[in-house]
This record gives sequence, C-alpha cells and structure tokens, in this order.
Amino acid sequence: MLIELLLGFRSVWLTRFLDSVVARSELSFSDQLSVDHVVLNLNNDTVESIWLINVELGLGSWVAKVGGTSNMDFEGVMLTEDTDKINDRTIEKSSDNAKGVQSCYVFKSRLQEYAQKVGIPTPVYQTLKEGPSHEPVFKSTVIVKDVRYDSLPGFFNRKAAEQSAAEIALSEIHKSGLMTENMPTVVDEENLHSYSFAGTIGHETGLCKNLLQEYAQKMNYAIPSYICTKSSSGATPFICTVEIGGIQYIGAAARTKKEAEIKAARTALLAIQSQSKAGIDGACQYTVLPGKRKVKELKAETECYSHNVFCRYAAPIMVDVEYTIANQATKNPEVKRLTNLVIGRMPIMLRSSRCVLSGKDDVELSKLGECPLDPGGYFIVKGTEKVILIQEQLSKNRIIIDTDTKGRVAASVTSSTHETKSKTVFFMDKGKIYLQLNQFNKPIPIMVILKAMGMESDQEIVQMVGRDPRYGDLLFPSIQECAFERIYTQQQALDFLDGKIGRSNPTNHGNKKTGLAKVILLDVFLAHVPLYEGNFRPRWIYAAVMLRRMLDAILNTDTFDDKDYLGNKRLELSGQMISLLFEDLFKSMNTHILELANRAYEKASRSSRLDFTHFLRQNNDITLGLDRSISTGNWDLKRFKMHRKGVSQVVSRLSYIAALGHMTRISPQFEKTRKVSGPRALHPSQWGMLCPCDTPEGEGCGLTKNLALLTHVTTDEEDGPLISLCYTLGVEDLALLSGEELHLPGSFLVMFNGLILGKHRQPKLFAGNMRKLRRRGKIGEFVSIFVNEEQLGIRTFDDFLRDGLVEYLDVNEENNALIALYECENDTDDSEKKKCDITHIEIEPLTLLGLSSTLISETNSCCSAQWGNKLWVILLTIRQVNYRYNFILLDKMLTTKRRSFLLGEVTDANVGYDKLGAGQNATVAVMSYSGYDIEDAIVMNKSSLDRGFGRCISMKKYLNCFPLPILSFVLYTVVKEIYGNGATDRIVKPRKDKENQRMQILDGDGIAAPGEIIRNNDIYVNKESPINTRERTGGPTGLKDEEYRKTPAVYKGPEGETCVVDRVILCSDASNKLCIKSIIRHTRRPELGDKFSSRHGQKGVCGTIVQQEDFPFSERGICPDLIMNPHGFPSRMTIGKMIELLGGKAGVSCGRFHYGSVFGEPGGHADKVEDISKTLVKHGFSYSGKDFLYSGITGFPLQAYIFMGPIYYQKLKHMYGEENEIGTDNGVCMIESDNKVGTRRISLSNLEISGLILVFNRISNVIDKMHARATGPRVMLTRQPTEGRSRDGGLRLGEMERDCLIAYGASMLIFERLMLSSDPYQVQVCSQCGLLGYYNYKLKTAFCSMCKNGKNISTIRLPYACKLLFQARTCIELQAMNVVPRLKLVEA
Amino acid sequence: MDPLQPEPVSYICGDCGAENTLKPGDVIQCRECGYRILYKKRTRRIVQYEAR
Repeated sequence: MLIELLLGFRSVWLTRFLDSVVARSELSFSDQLSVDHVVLNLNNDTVESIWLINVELGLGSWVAKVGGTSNMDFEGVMLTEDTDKINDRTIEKSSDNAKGVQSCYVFKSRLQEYAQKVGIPTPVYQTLKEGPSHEPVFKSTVIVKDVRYDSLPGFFNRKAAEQSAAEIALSEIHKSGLMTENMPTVVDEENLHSYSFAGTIGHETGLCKNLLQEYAQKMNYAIPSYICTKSSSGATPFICTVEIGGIQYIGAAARTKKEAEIKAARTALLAIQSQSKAGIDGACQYTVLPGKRKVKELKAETECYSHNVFCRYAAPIMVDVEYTIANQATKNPEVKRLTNLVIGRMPIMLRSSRCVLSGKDDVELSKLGECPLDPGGYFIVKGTEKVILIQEQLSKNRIIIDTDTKGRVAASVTSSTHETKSKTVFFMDKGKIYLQLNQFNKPIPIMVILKAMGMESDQEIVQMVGRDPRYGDLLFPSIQECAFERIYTQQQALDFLDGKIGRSNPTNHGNKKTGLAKVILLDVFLAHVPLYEGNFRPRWIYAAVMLRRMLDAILNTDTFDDKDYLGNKRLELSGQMISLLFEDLFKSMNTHILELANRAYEKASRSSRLDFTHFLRQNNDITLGLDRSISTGNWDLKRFKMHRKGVSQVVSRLSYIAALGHMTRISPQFEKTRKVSGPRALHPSQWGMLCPCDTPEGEGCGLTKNLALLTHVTTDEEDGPLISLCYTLGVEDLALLSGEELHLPGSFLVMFNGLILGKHRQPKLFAGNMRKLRRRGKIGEFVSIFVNEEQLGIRTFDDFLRDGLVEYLDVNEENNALIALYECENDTDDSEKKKCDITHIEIEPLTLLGLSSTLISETNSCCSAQWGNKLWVILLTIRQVNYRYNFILLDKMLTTKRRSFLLGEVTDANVGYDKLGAGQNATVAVMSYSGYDIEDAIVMNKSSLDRGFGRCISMKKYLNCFPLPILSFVLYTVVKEIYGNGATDRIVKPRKDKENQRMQILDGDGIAAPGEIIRNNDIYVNKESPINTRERTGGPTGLKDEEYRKTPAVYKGPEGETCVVDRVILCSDASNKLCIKSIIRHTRRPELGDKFSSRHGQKGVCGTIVQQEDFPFSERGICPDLIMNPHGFPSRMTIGKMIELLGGKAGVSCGRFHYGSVFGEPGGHADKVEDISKTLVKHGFSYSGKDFLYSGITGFPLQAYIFMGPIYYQKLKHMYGEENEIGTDNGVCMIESDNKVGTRRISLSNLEISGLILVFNRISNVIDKMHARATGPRVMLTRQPTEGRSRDGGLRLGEMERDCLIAYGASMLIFERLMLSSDPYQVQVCSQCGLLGYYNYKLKTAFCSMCKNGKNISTIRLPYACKLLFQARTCIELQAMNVVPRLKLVEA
Repeated sequence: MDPLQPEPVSYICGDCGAENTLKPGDVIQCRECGYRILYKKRTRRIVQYEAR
C-alpha cells in the first residue's frame, strides 16, 4: 500500500516524506533501511545500494547505509527485503527486527543501531582515497566513541571499505562484551552470516525478478533468461520458464506475461532458497573482503624496459574465450573454455600504473638503468619513443549554436554513444527550420521530424519550445510548411521521411524503404538521448530545447555559442585514443577470424578437427595494428569515421624540458593550413588552463597549445549515481513534466553530460548543494557544476575538481567563480570586489603559464614581443639531453651543466630543472668591444673557452645490421628473405699486412673498439657482402672469399677533428639480424659563428674570440666570460635579463640562490630588485650592478661604469626561420633557409637536415653548417650539382641572385653561372628542321634523323636540363607530348 | 671471418657484466644471464688524445 502511495510521488516528496518519518521516528534503523530500499526499487532501476548512499549524503547522516554491489565487482551482497513485511512494519512500526534485514552486509547499519541504543554519537566514517584518479583505492576508518577502527585495505569502492570498517568495529565491540543481549550481534548466525532471501517472496511486485537477477550476479551466473509461452486461451494463458545457473524453473500460469515472469522468478527463488537452507550455513558465509577487480594482468617483459633494443614496450592482452563445439560422441554441443589466451600485445605507456617502472623509487630505477627524472608518458613502438598527443575536440553531446558557412543560424549536436556517432544539425533557411542528417538526402522540415516522433499536436510543439509569442512567430513558417505538405499524423510523417532517405544509406537494402525512417530516428537522430521502449518523448523534448536555444539565438544574438570557448572543448588523452583503436582492431579481428573459420568449414575435406582457436592464436592483427597506428600516427578508423594524422609524435628529446613539454602538448582540431584567426587567437577562457605563451610560430601558431602547469585533464566519472543524486537533490524528472511546465519562468533545466534530466526551481541552491557534496569528497572531485544564466539551464558534467581546500574548476564553472589572484585582494576596500564575493584564490599566478614558459626567470618583466611576435610568445624550450646513456636519445650535449643562480623557485624544483640544467652561468659585461659585437654578436673570452665554457659533446650513432645466423631455422627464413639464397653478410678481420690506413682502428673482430680515435674515411665495421645474392650456392658457410665484395662502413666526419669511438653495442634486431651500433663522440669547443642565448631570447652568435689579456677586468680581478653589446636591450626590453644579472651577482656575493619566479614579487616568491640592490651594496658592489672596469688593451679605466654580472646562458631550440640571421651576422656559415620540411617532428635524424638553430653550445655548431665546394657530385637525371650540405652539394645561384646580376649587367657572369658551371652539354642541332640530331661515332659525322642527312648540323652547347626538356628518358619532355621544340640558330 | 683467430675478442654483457666471446654465427646473447645486448670492450691499444 505504501509502495503504491510512494509511486505517485516524485523523489523530492519522497525524501521529504522520509525525512518526516525519521523525525518522528521510533523506528529502528532496519525499518528505515527497508523503506528506503523499496523506494529505490520503485523509483528507478539504478543500482540500489549506491542510491542509498546518496540518500545518506543528501539528507545528512540519518539513514544507515547498506553494503551492496556495484555492477563491476562483487564486493558485497545486495540487501534484499520482503516487501510485504516492509509495508507492515513501516505502518505498524513493528518492533520485530530480528527477522528484519537478513543480510550480511549491514554492518554499518548495525553499528549505527548499536550506537543509538547505547546512546553514543553516531559513528563517523573517514574514507581515504588513494591511488590514481582513474583507479582509486579506498580505506576507511570508523570512529565510535573516540575509538578508531580501520578497515582492511585495498577496496575499490568507498562503500565496501566503510562496510569493512564497520564490520571490524562491530566485532571488536562484540569481543569487548559491550553488546547487550537484545542487540543483533555480529555472530548471530541467522542474522548476519547466512545469505538467504527473505522468508517470503513478494507476489505482486517485480521484486522477485530483481532478487533473482541479484542472485545470478552474485553467483556469477548468466542473467536469468525468461521464456514466456502462451499455452491456453483461459484466464491465465501465460506460462513462463526461467533459466538460471543451468536449471530451468517453471512458474505458475498467470494472466499477463509480466505476471508469469514474476511467478517463474519466485519459483526459482524459492527453490534456490530451500537449497541454500538445506546446505551448510558455513558455506554461504560472506564477509567483506577487498574485491579483486577483473583486470587483465599485464606483465611487461624484461627486455622491454631497456630502451636499448629495437622493440616495443608492450604487454600481452589475455582473454578468456568460451565457445561451443559439437561433441562427436554425443552430438551434443559442448561448451569449452580457454583462459588466458593471448590475442595481442598492447603498448604500455611508460610510468603508467601498468608499467613495471611505476612506483619504483630512484634507486630501483637507477638499478634498472632508467633515468629517475624521466617523465614517462610515452610509448615505445618499433624502437622509437612515441607520445600520443592530447587531442582537442569539440564537446560531444552538446548543443552548439552557431552560424554555418552560408550564414544561417544552426544548432548542432554531435551525438556519441558506444554504438553510433552522428551529427544532427538544425538550421534556419528563409524563416523555416530544417533538419540536416546525413542519412537523409535533403533537409527535412523540422515539424515533420517532430511529428514522425509522435508529437502530432502543433500546440504541444509550441508549448514545448516556449510560450513566448515571439517563438510562435518564428515557428509559424515551419508549421505552415508542414501543413502545406499535408502531414498531420505520425504515419504520414514517417512515410514522407521514407521518401527522403539517401541512396547511400548502408541500411538501405534494395527498395525496401518503408520503416527505415523510424530506424533512423531511433538510431541516428540525437542518438545520445536514450529511449525507453521506443518512446520518443525524451528526444522530442531535446529537439524542442534545441529549437528553443536556436530561436533564442535568433532573437538575441548574445546567446550564440563560441566554438573557441574552452568549455565547449574536450581533450582526448592517449587512453581514449588507444581504446578506440583497440575496439576497432578487436572487432576487425573478430570478423576476420569468423571469415577464416567459415572458409575452413566450407572446405570439403578436412583431415583433422577444426579448432578455431588456432586462428585466434595465429592472429596478429591487434598487435600489428596498434604498432602501425602508434608508430605512424595515423588513426584511420572507418568504424568510427575517424581519420587523423599526426596523432603520435616522436618524443622530442632535445632536452629534458622539451620532452616534458611534449607530453603536455595539445594537437589542434583544425588543420594547420586553415587561414583562420578565431581559433588561433588567445581565448580568455584559456586562462590558467592552457599556456598563453607556449605555442609554435608559423602555421601551427595558436592551434597547437600546451597545458598550463596546474591543469589536470580528467577522466569520466560514472554517471549513474550522479543522476540519482540529482533527482535526490530535487530535480524534477523530465518524464513527469509537460511542455508547459518545462519552461515556466524561474525553472532551470538540468543538463547532465548533454542529457536533459529535468528541471529545478532553485538552480543556485542545487548547484551549491552539489558543490558542497563534491567538496566533502562524496562525489567525484572531477564533477563540475555550474549555473548558466544565459541559457537558463544548469549543467553538471564530468570534469575537474578536488576535494578539500583546493578545488578543480573547469572553464564552465569558472564563470560562477570570482577568483582572486593574491590573498591580499581579499581585504580590499574596493566596492567592486567585496570580500564575500571572492570564491577562490589562485594557488599561484605563474601556473597560468605552461612548462617551458615558466622556466624563463622574471618572465613578467620582459616584453612579450621579445619572446615572439603578436600575442604569442615563442617557445623557449631548453634542450639538454638526458644524461642517461640511452641509445635512442643520443645527441649533442653540454659537457658541464650548471644550475642557474637565479631560479624560479616553484618551477625549477618541481620540474627538475635544477637537477638537469641546460646551461652555464657566464659573467657578462654589457659594453661595446671591438666592433665584432654588432647585431647581437658576442665577444668571447678565449680563456673561458679553455676552461670549458660552452664546450659540448656531439654523439652520433651509426647502425649496421647484418643477417647473421642465429638459430638455424629462424635464420634460414630471415636470410632467404633478404638474399634469396641463404647467403649472409660477414664481418672480416682486417688484413693489416697490406695497405689500408683506413682499417687501422679495427679490432680482431673487424669492428672498431671503443676509445679509438676515428678520422674521416676510416672504416669502423669491416663488412663484406656476397656478390651473388640470387642463386643458391650452398650454405652460408660455403662461400669463398672471392665471392664476397667489400661493403665496409665508412665514417664520414669533419676533417681534421678528433672523434672518438665511444661505445660499440652488439644486439639482434627485430628480425634476428645482427646489429652493430657504434657511437662516435666528438668534443667541440665554441668557435666563431656558434650561437648563444640567455633565457630571455637574447641570442647572438660568437663574433670574435679574444684573449683574456685583452678583456676588460675589474678592480677585484673579475674578467667577464663574454661581452654583450648594450644595444641588445633597448629594442628588446628584456628587463628580466637585467634583473637576472643583478640577482645572480647578489647571489654569488652572498652565497645563496635568489629567486626569479614569474609574477612572484607580490606573492613573495621572487626577490625584489630593491632587496637585491641592498645585498649588492652590502658586499661592496654598486647598487645598480655596475662595475668599475679597466681596459685590457690600454690598462686605463674605462670611461663608463659597466653593467656586469652572471647570466645563465644556455641552449635553446626554436626559431626555424631565423637561420639567415647567422649568415648575415658575420658571413661565416651558409645555411639553407627553406627547410620547413620535417621541422614538425624534431627527431635526431632530421636535426641536421632541417637546420634547426639550436642556440648555444654549438648545437647548431658552425662546423655542422659550414659548407663550400668547387666541384662535386651531380644528380643523375639532370646532371646538375646536388643540393644540400649533407650531399656535398653546390651553392645555388637562384632567381633572386640572377635578378641581381641582370640588374647589374654582369652578362658574362650569368652566362658562366647558368650555362657552363652547372650542366653544360654538347648537342647537334639541325639548323634546317631545328631538331636535335646525334653524332655518329662510326662515321664521325653528325646526323639529323628528321632530315635524314647531316648537312645542316651545327654543334652547340646548352644546359642538359634544356635538352631534357626537349627529349628525355622519361616521358615528361615536350616531344612526348606531341610538342615539337625547334631551335632557331642565329649566327653569333 | 678467420676461424683460426689467435685472440678472440670478448664482449661485456649489458646486464650482468660477464665477459663473453662470440664466434661467427653465434647468437648475440650473454652466456651467463641470457641478456641480448653485448658491449664491445675498450681498446687495449695506447691512444693519445688531444686536450684542447
């Protein structure tokens, strides 16, 4: 009775009712529990136990919580209850609770009861959440009467942990004998430890089915299946059979199907119950134990974590397979199970929770040969480190109001569910509103769609959209159009739609179009709005809301959505990307195997029994597919209509910071080529989320972004409990509201992840309550709640937040917050910012910047234009190779790294930059010297260079692979692939007797040993290859020496420099070939033309190197390391550099590090210039940092005081386009300037090719750039000189240079450059026909094949390229295109 | 490669540090621990470097 009563109420009323019940309660707690439970079952079908917790949270702590199941892991048992009893007890207030709740998981309520009976305060639970946010582990402590009881550790949900704590508390209390007799005790067998269903089973309700389902879940059976049959035509025609656990139970006959199913379930339950009673009680005992989540155990291979091998770092994916096979003896199907079948290997992100390196401390990591400072976050596939960039996307399932390309107002929703992904667009054309859906070939009038979904009444439609007459006016043309088409009913509308279905529709088989429209409406149209039993109501309400928002936008243009608004965007992490990929590959594998199996079965003769797992074992699709996508970065998933390129990139190992910064990079949703200004502009909503500075220059400017320091990208929160919670907090269910009620003034719609839940009358209160819960840690910290005043709707969706004092705010919620930058702003008298209005305080202002930007000290004191152009600041990523001797990462590195004197307090320590510095502290004198310091050039002290300033090591790795025998069988196939005859390469001992200077450094095994000095053209691996690689000539050993030709590995290095073989490594690569890796080291000291930079983008080349004797010096004998021209300051406005100099100088003199954190001065994180100056004065320096210097040349004092002090100089990676600068600076080096190709990925291999300017420490050393040649190699086809330094190419005289020469009138020079120096060629031209002839060497005459004679032939010289144009070996020439080029010869 | 080589070149295992000798056709693997990466030993010749 009560239940029926309750059914009519909405949850709000219900909770109020419960409240009052409790208020006058003499009820025992089990009773309340039961009431609650029933309510749950009736109210919605979500998992009950969670609901209960929510009730507890929402209304205080008066309701006892019940342990229960979540659907994932069975950590508890659901409380089950007899409905009849509940009725009785709640109404009659029966005191009989001995037989009340008979479940083992009521420890919390027992404890509560106990506390109430004894009269002590209610137990307080403190639950700790540990571990990563996507995989939390809970530990709970309950405090009863000031005594703490800890739960067992390691629960996967909060509730189970609390139950466990309660259980322990109860047993402890029981032991201490405090329990009185009439209390239900823990050891009460009947009450607690017997898992049995309620004594009687409900008749009329569907509870039996629920119970049965729970039982099935509990026992790990399949979901009970019901089969209804209509047997007779009597009053009770339906008989239902339910199968559970392999046993069938037949229920009594009933009037309706539903009833029959309930009866069957009841029968089953009774049977099970009697069984379990008959069984031993002990066997059915349950205690709360940490659940074991069904995680596929991933084991990493030991070989993998050493980066040294060509490998992927992956773990096997193990599955359990269950399949049916016909038993030949009995002809009955037989179910087979296979466990732990490996179907592929999943690449694992380094340092993720599944990685072997996770949770290891520095010592352990060092032992494993890993760098403790390595950030992880990347994958190793095919021997390279790949990072899967964060992908930026428009938010799914969200209404976006925008104008389309034709300027029409459009509302679009991208629906994304597990099954489908579709885009629904409403747009307004000529006053009428249409729907655009890919499945329909034409835009559909919106009213037709609404009618097809069953909203037939025009009045209802208008009501749904809103009563405002302006809406009606705007809708009127659409309604009229619909009426004009004579569509009034649902059927008519569906018929109309059937005619509009596009031909390309995959579901369209043949001509059968009828009914398709309905399918499309069901599956595609607004697919993310769930439907119950084909009832379209939620969807048409959603459509109406879309319409309303669209009309709002037309009436008031302010309500347009901003696509660039960060709140409308979502970031996809690598996990989501890979899971998509995996799903696609897994499904493909399934179909593929099915195909194979079918084909095998179709074969007429089968010798052996077919075992399809054979196919599964052999299948490599998943592994290969994952590898391919991650290594190429192409995500081509037809199943999800996804075609993305450049998803993964090679981790930029230029420096520690670069690698770290790479992990926070966000790949844009737009193509880079788009000439758009909107998405590139800095959007205010990015404040604190994305770094305003860190973006590349050039085409990706503003599109590729980086996360700010404190940004956290959250993962999804489970939505079921949240939805229930919303209802509990007073959201009125959508299903109960009419269109009229929906839009009453003052009612706010509640949107949940793009779904409309219902409405709420007090949005602020609701949002406030939700936030309070979040702060208490009761709901996930990543849930964001905000009130949207413009759109009149509240939204709650999964995003950012943390409990306690620090909160995560996402972009949307920021709109509701007033955030103070500093604490002092709170005390301001400013009437605009009243104390009470401020909701949050920024943790630290510098966190709005990204990683690499914060590393510039005193960034705020520098003009942003110095760091880049326009709004954007250039990426100043500091490069420094990880000192880990890792073969993937080898490159150039600084020999001596130092820590900067002026640190960013916050960032340096957190990022590890103080440990992995990238530069050195140079004493800089800001003065003019020698004239070699114009245009930012630097004068360097030769003695400083001798002392090791700016010295660096260049490491290069050379690879040699050989197919060498490893295992005879495996090898055979491998080698055969390569040479076709089983012959292999070999490495030969050098014959020292004869000749061969070049082989001097080779060891007895034919490989250069480490420590040897290697010179240009030296051989470091003496390899020989078989001459004959086609025909079989016996085994690999059978070849004689003559049958090999020499194919040695020759070192090409700078002439006259000493390079040393650093290490030689032997290993076998993926295809079992022997692989020799040699690393050759070259130590370089700075020289003229090398580029240097401070952290403020003040870069310059080394203009001259001067003896220390000639350098200026101070009275104290301090001599600068380098001299910088003061002209560098005024135009660049790098005040930060000046402060750094002061801070550094003070730091050196007083012996402590000074701090230069960004925006740090008001917060006290940075030292003020005033204080620094005081320190300087204290130590005998001028307060301004200027020194009294003597000239090193004359010995006289300089006429001015010189600003001198230490500045951190280091190497930077950036500014691709500025190579020319060096060239113009002092003309030392030649650099190609058109090397944009391949600069997107900065890998070691294309470092040189792309000519990246890597500042300081000669990362772009002059030696690597310097290039000149007289004659040299030529391109085969055109016979012109090759291009580029790497190919020893010529220096191009391009069209610009040609123009100069023409303007100057140097005709002979042009002639010489273009006609003679490049590709001169002598041809025979027939002056009669103008075609090219040939020279017959036999007859020693020239001959024209056109005129068939040699009479008019003359010999001329022209560029070979010109001849190619006329006639070429390829078919691109003019003659091949039927164009006759005739040369007209004129006497010269 | 000459099978009658007088002094076989030895290699150091990347994992356990054991010395290994390899013959042509051998698997690149440490005999002690089975690790598959071997390092060549430093040269025993006298090398004169330039300190500049």
